[in-house]
This record gives sequence, C-alpha cells and structure tokens, in this order.
Amino acid sequence: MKVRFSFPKYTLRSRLFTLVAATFLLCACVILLFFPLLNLTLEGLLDRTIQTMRKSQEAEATTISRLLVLEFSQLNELLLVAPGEENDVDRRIKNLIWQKVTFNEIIEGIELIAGKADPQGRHLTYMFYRREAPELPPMPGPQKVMKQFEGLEKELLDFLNEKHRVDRLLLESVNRGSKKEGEMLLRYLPVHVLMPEEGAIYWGVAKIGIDTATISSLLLLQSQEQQRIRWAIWLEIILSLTVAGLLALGLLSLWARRLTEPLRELGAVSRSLGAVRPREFDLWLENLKRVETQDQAEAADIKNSLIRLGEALPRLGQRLLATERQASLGKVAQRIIPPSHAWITRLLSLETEAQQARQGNGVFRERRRLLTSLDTGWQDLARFGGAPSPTWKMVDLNPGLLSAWRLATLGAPAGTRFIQHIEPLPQVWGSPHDLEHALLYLVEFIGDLAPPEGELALRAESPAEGMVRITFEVSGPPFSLESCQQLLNPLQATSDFRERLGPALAAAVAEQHGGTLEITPRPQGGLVLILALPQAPIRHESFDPYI
Amino acid sequence: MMTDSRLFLVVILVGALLLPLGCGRPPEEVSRRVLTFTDDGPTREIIRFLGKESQLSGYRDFDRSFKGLLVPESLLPFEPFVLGLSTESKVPAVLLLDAPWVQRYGAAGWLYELERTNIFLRNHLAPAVAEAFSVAVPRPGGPPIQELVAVPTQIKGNILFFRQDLLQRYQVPPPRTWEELRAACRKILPLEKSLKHGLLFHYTNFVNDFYPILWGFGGRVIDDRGRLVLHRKGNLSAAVAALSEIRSLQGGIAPGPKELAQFEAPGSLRQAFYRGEALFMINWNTRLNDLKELIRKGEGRSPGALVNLNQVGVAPIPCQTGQPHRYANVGSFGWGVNRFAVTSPEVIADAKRFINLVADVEFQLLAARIQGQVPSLESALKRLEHPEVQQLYRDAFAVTDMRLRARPQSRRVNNTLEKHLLEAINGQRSPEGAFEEIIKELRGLKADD
Repeated sequence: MKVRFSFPKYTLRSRLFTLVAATFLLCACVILLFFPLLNLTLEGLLDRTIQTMRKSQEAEATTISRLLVLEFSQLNELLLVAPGEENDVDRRIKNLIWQKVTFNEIIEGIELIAGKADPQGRHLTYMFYRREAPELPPMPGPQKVMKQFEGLEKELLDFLNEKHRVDRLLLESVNRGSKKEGEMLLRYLPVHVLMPEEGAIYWGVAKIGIDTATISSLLLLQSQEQQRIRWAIWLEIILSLTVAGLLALGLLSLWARRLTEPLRELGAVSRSLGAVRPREFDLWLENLKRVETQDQAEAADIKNSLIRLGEALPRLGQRLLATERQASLGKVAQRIIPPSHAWITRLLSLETEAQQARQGNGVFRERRRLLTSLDTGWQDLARFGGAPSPTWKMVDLNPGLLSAWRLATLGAPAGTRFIQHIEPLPQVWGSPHDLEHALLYLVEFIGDLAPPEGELALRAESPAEGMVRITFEVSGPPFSLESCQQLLNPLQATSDFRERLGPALAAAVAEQHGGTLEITPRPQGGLVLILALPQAPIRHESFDPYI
Repeated sequence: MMTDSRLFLVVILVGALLLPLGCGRPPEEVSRRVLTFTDDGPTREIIRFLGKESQLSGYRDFDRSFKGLLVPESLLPFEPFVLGLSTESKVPAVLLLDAPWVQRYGAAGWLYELERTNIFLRNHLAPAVAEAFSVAVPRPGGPPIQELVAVPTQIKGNILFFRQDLLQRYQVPPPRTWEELRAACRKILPLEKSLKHGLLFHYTNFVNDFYPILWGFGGRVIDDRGRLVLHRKGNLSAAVAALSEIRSLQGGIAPGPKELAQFEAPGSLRQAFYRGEALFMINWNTRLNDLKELIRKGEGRSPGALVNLNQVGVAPIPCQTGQPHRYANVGSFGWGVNRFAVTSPEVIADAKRFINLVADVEFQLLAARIQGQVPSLESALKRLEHPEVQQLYRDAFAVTDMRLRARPQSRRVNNTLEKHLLEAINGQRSPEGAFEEIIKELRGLKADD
C-alpha cells in the first residue's frame, strides 16, 4: 500500500517554518558529513607527518653516523688492529666508542666491524651499547670480540665490504622488526681510514644505533595535537551550526511570519464569516477591507474576491427575502383559492335559492357568513401583500398573528384539528412588515407540513421575563434535532430541507429584532417552532434601528 | 523596523567580516634549490670570463644557481670525497674528479650514469678521453657495459716532447718505439753540441711517467676491476723490461743517477728543454703552453735555447717494438654527478645544466685560448684556432695508436711503485729487485685478489 506523506492541518506559517527547519537540518547533516572527511584528512596529515618525521630522523641518524665515521676515519690505529690479546690500540678504540656512546644521548650503541673475516667468518668487532631498555641487561663496557653475523645483517655487511656502500633495501630490512640490540635505528656505514700517504683505505663497517625515543614522544605529542585539533574543529562546527541555525531559524521565522501575515488575516476574516450575525456583516466587511496585503498579489486577489462576495451577499439576501416572500404569498394565496371558490359557488347557489324564497332568513345569514369569510380571507392575504417599509416602529403582532393563523388554517388538509390559545401580546419594536412576514413564513411552513387528519396548534403568550413568545406545533413524522437545525441552516442542509427557506428567514428576522426562533422535535411527532421576541421598551419609540 | 533587504545585507556583512578569521597566514615560500659543486680556480676563472663575455645567461647567473664548495688542496691527499660518497652524502652534487678517482668512484657505484640518464652523450667527446672516463657498470641480465660517469673538460696526458727542428734537420721522424728514440739520439746527439741529454723524464713523481712506458711494454699494475695484477708473469716481465729500458738509457741518453738530482725542482725539466739541452722530454701536454710563455718572455735565453714554438714537436710516449698502442697517463679532470644527490628529477636537470655549462664549446675554446688546454669536445676540437693546441691534439692525442689510460687510484700502489722505481733509477736496486720489493710490499693487496 502506498503511503502518501501529508502535512497535518497546520498553518502555512508552521509549514514554512517546519520546512525551513527540515532544510536546515538537512544542510547541517551535509555539513557534518565533512567531519568524517576531516578525520580522514587529519589521519592523512598524521601519516604524512609520521613519514616526514621518520625520514627526518633517518636523515639525522645518517648524518650523526656519518660524522662518527668521519671521526673514525682519523683513527689510523684501526689499520693495526688484530685479533688476540688486548693492547693499547684496542684500549684507545674502546675508550673512543665508550665516549661517543656515553656522552651522546642520541647514540645508543656503536660497533666497529673490521672488513676482513677470519676463516670461521667472524669479524673483529669493537662494540658498546648503552642499553637503557629495561628488558636488556647492561653491558659491562666496550667489548673487543670476534663476532659472527647472520642473516640479513651478514648480507648487508658483505655487500658493504665488497661495494663500499650501503644496500638501501637490506638496510631497511635489517631495521624492520625488533632487534637484539634494543629498539633503535641502525645505520651501517663503510669506514675508510684517511692516510695522507696512501689516501682513503677501506677498513670495515661502523654500525651505529640511534635512539628512537625522541620520535616516539614526538609521535605521541603529534597524536595528542591531532586529537585537540579534531575536538576544536568539531566544537567549531557545532558552534557554527548552532549559531547559524539560531540565526537562520530566527530570521526565517520573522520572514515567514511577515510573509504569511496577510494570508493568515484573510483566513481569520474568512473563518469569522460563518459566525457573523447579519447586523455584524458590515463590521465583518470593514474588517476584511482593513486586511493589509503587503503588496502580495495572491493575498490582494483573495481579498478583492472576498470583498466582492461580501458586498454581493446582502443584495443576494434581500433578493432571496423578497423572492421567498412572494413565494410564501403565492402559496398562501393558492391555499385560499379552493375555499374561496367553494364560497363563491355557495353564494351563487344561495342567490338562486333567495330568488325562489324558499329559505328566507337562513339563506341570508349563510350568505352573509360566506361573504364575511371571503372578505376576511382576502383581507388577511392583502395584509401580507403590501410594499416593504424600512421604518421601524412599535408593532402590535396580534392582528398579523391572527391573519396568519387564519390563512394557515384556511388551506389546511381536511380533518386537521386546530388548537389555539392566544393571549393578547404586548407590542414589540421593529419592522412591522418583516415581523408579519416572519409569521407568514412560519404558518406557511407548518401549514404545508401538516398531514391530513393532523393537528395544528398556536399558542401566543407573553411570559413575565419581558418576552413575546409565539409557539406553533404541527403533527407529523418524527424529526431529529439535527434535522431541526438544518431547517435553520438550509444552505448547509441536505437536499430534503434545502428548499425550505421560511424557517431560516423567520429566524433571521427574529434575530434582527433581538429575538430567536427555536425549532425542536414534537414529542408525539412533528415539530415545535417557538418564536421569541423582546417586548418593546418605551424608550425605543423615537429611535431608528442601529444597523 | 529593519527591512528584509537590509537584514540580508547585515548578515552578508557580518559573514564577510568573519571570513578572514578562517584564513591564516600563507606558508612561507620555500627557498630555491641550489646545486652544490666542487669549486676550483681554473673553472672559476673561465666562468668569470664567460660571465662577462658570453651571451648565455647561464654564466652570468652561475652563482645564483650553483653553490661552489672549495676543496683545500691540503685535503686532496686524504681523498675527502671517499668519506662523503661512501656514506651517501648528498653534497657536493657535482664533483670535479681526477681520472683515477673517476675509475674508482665509478666502479664503486657512487657516480651517476650520464649517458643512460641523457645528461651527457659520450659521442660528443673525443674517443680517446671518453674511454678514460667510462667504467664498466653492471647491467641486470647482461654483461657490464662501459658507461660514461664523468665529463672531462680537457684532454690532458703525458706525452713526448721533441726538438722538431733538429729531427727535421736530420730527417729523423718522431720515434714510435724506444728503439727509434734510441737511434735518433745516437744520430743527433753527437752532432748537436748544445744538447746535453737525449731524453728527460721526471725525477719526482717518476711513476706518472713510468706508467705509460709500462703500458707501452704491455704491462699492467692493476686490471680494469682495480685488482693488482703486477705480480702476474706477463706484467712483471713487462715491468722489468720497461724499467730496464729506462735504466739502459740512463747515462748516455737520459740523465744518470748522479744527474737526476738536478731535476728535482719543479719546472726543471721544461727549463732544461727550453734551454735546448734535451732532444726529447716526457711531460704533461700543458707544458707546451709553458714553453710558449718561456719563449715569449725569453728570460735566461742562452745559445741553443728555443726561440720559436715551431721548434717543439709532440708525439705519444714510445712503446716497445711490436706493441700495438702507445699510451698516455691521463691527467684530465672530469665532472661526475654524485649518485646519492640525485633525489629528484630536478637534481638531474640541474646537474645536466651545470655540466652543459662547464663542458660547453665556448668554455673549452676559451680554456684553450687562455690556458692552452686541449678541448675534450669533438665540436670544440673542430673549431680550434690555436696552432699549438691543434698540434697537441693532432700529433699526440689523435694519433691512431694512442690510448689514454688512468693510473691506478691506490696511493699505496703508487707510493710503493714510486719509492722502488726511484731506487732503481738511482742505481740502488736492479729492476728485478725493485719489482720484487714492490710485490712484496703490496702483498696485502695481492691477497685481496
């Protein structure tokens, strides 16, 4: 199943901020990728430094050894040495190498190896090692020995004795791994004794051990320094990212807030449209006009559209009200027509009967009743057909209520039971035209809703709290509370209630006058509609409506 | 309130101000590499001349590119370069070496091959001298090859000077063999009263004169690998014959033991020859220039003395009858490259530039003009304008049977030979006895064989 990522319903500002934060984190991760690279670079630097230091130390070792060889080249007695008992020459040579090893911290040991070997392959060797390593026993002093060399060292010495120069590969091989002399860098150099009479005479090989502790300590220092650099750079990266992140998020937050402010305000104004009351509509429109678009084209377009819509809505409402009024009148008129026709037919019949004088007084009374009914019906209808007037004044609802009730009962289905309890109602403050039409919308609605053999009830009363309350009850199928609410919001209702605008218009008129219209289910089935209006205070008599 | 654009500008400005914090000082430039070489007076003199006269910038900027290390003459007997090269010292990078040293150092592998590395091509040199500065270099998977390891700046060797005017007068050709020399002397000496000696040779450093005589008898003291071979039968008999030949000339033709002492002083041979006292003289070819100077100055001129350089002829030192070659003991110096100094291609390039400067045609022609040196370059020899130098090359070094050979490099060998040869020509010991003593003293070297 394909999972599709979607943002929760957050504001555009939150989304922008989240996206910016995510982008910054991504960038930070990319930047942090440099740390492994930095590690690699530092490792490379460390390797190169180690190599350089090793080369430097090797060069230093060679130089020191070369200087020693230069000293040995002045030692003419070397040409006189021979195996056997120790003599003055041996003692002088041993003394010299003791001095060199003892008084030079760099030199760990010296071997002077004569080039010629005896039949057993042993070379006359003068040797002395300082042996500071704890695992090696100290040497009692310089030695004169016949020493036999083996392996790579022997190969190197043979090469040196034959070619009078060092084989680099062999030298490197000899220096690899641990050595019995201790951990030291070994240098093998040919020794020529310089004689003024005979020139440079090859004597043998000087094997010189150079201390490696210096490089070890330097490497340790280097490693510590590398670690310090690594931590410092890591800290700098984190610090930089933190500062950059705070700066970026702070600035971007400001920018995002500023950027989304017009849209946010438009959204808030749009959202408030659902809750705005008709008398607050002009205020809502004014608020909409005050939204600052900050020269954003999209926000300006939305704002202009909303303004146009807002300005059109009242006109549409007026048109809707007028249309619904006409429709209600039409329906009521349509309801009057059948009884009126029946009355007229009866009147014509009574006219005939009167000419025949078969029923003198009785016909006259019935004729008078019919004419009265006909007149009352049309007068009731005419009450609601007048031109609308915007003037507000003290309104007596009683005549209008009776007219409306009569019109409702006039066209009710056959067998409908009418219950009425009408108390004289006090006056209210408002538009007579709108209030009477509100009553007309309600009676037209319940009259239309009443089923055959049903029940229609009207109760008009004035409770003590200063309200005028008019209650209509109509029998019928059971209604839910939701259905009742939909009657008050027909534009959001399902198709069943979409065309029933009467209750909603009546509710709007009631609200315009500070009252309410409640629609609730009737326990026995049907609906109960309660129109409540405030009684008119005396001080309102000389004032116009405030909207 | 700050607008967006201003805020952006502030951020950019702060960033720009922080940028320099990440920039440290650039590393200091490493000083330019300079090639080191062994400095010597004659080379310095020519360089100074060319620095003024030549159009080549290399001579004018010579001291900027190359660092000369002067080697005191007192150190030379100790062979100071042996210590440096055997211990792989990188300094000096280019060395001016005597021919025997070139052989020794080249054989030890201390000198860089010049042909293989295209630093200098052997065919630019006169063949006689190129051979003396080449050594047998081991080759992987094949026999050793002769490889040029130093570039000689001149051809120098001991040759036979003779009185050309007298030989022409008595219609005697320059002698090729000792027999011919002896015959010429027998013919001319009685007729020319000013001549006191038929042949003059060096009393001090006689060994230098003796080597080409010995080689002309087919003998060797050491072989091409530096091993002592004097004790071998053919060499020993040749050596005894050569020394006997010289001994036989003493008294009648050459100065006898009692007269030799008068030739101990430096320059005594050429002075005697200049005074017209000798028909033949064995000496270094550079003495022709000295004779020219003596003739020009005319100091102490006596009846019979030389008045014109045309009176002097040159030829190779005679050989034994039947021998194919005549020899000269090469005294040239050559520029070799220290193998251990070659640590990068740049060093090779610098060494090549240096050698091409000090072995340049102009360099050698100038040396021929002011020092009388015989150029070693073929191209310089073709452009020679000095008749005496042309004569030296044409009549001595370019002779087809002439060979230049380096004496043994071992001072011990040379000193031993010198000591006992002097005993022989002083009449203190017979030739056989002298060489018996020589072989006995060099027994240690013989054991190395």
